[in-house]
Amino acid sequence: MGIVARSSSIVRFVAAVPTRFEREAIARAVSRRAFRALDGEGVQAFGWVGIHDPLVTELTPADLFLQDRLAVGFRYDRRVVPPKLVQLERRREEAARRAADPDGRLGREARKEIKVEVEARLLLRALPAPRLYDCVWNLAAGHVYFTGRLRAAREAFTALFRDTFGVTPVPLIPYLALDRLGLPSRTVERLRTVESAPLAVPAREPTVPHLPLLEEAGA
Amino acid sequence: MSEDFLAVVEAKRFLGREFLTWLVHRIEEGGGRVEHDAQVTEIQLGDRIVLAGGADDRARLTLVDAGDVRTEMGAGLRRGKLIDRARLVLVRGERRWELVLDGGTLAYESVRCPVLGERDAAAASDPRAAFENDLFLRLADVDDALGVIDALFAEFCTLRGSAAWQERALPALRAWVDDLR
Repeated sequence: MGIVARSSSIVRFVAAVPTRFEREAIARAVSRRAFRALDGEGVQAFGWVGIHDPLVTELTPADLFLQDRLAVGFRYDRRVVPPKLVQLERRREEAARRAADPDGRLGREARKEIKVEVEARLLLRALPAPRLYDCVWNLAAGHVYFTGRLRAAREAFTALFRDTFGVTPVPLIPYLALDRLGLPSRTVERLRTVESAPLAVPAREPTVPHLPLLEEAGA
Repeated sequence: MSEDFLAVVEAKRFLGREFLTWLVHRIEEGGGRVEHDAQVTEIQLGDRIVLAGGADDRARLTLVDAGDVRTEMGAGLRRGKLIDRARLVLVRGERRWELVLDGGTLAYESVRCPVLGERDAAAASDPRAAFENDLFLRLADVDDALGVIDALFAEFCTLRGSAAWQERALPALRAWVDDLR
């Protein structure tokens, strides 16, 4: 879902703007890596699209730059076969093989082989499911908003961003965010080495009275 | 994503979870007001909290309720879990944001910003201009909300890296956890 949608997810990345950043060249680089529909055998396809219109794949600087931000859409298509269909087709194929085999038995390896074959066959016939995300790169602050949390899409986005802009976007996890808070360097160093602090109050000493057996025995 | 990076993410996930736990404590103890960029924002706890443990405790505890979940939250915290995700509501005057903060990764889900205002006349007749107008406004809203959370994270980190953490903040947190029954 896009940033303008009523509800969206946002993952932040750190990506410093390279020293050479020429807008016309960037637009050409983006257009070269624009989304292309899946060919006959691919499982997934991804690429840039216009943030204002996902059908626009020839992008000019006017389509990409909004003041000090670069805003572009990311389309990620993936073929997915419903698990139930795989299960049914496997059963059908296994039954056919058993019928053709005089023993009527199938080993573990054979069943595994059938599963791979069935999945591959169905995958080619499956329609790709498209997903659209927004990428907004704040060029002044050096951070990126990306609206997708799906791991596969995020990894594809990271690779495409690196190939297009020559910068690897790094997820802004708490540990890395420490550098961007304006804290004194000593505090940051100390925080890098802290260990988790248990919040549970340590169990109290048992209040059962102990009999002074030893003392009595010695007495 | 390199193996080293993923190892750091996993090993230091607790820092964000401690932050979120501290934040919920701050809100619960009446400290939900935050001043950021000369504006005061009130933060409230929403109706969804997820607690998670460390590497040796994979069980997650999800609390979804508009009512009082402090007892269940306390039970989870006393078992060594920390708050991993929480729905937060940010209110500034008539403007209201809702989001689910993933403390472990500082990612945001279900971000709902204030309703966009009226478009200007030029934007109303041009779909492209209307979209860019909405995008600008929405980005400003997102920057606003995330800026408040960042300010709170900075406050937590300053405290966490100081002697006051061991002396005052941690004992107060532990007492709060112990009282959540």
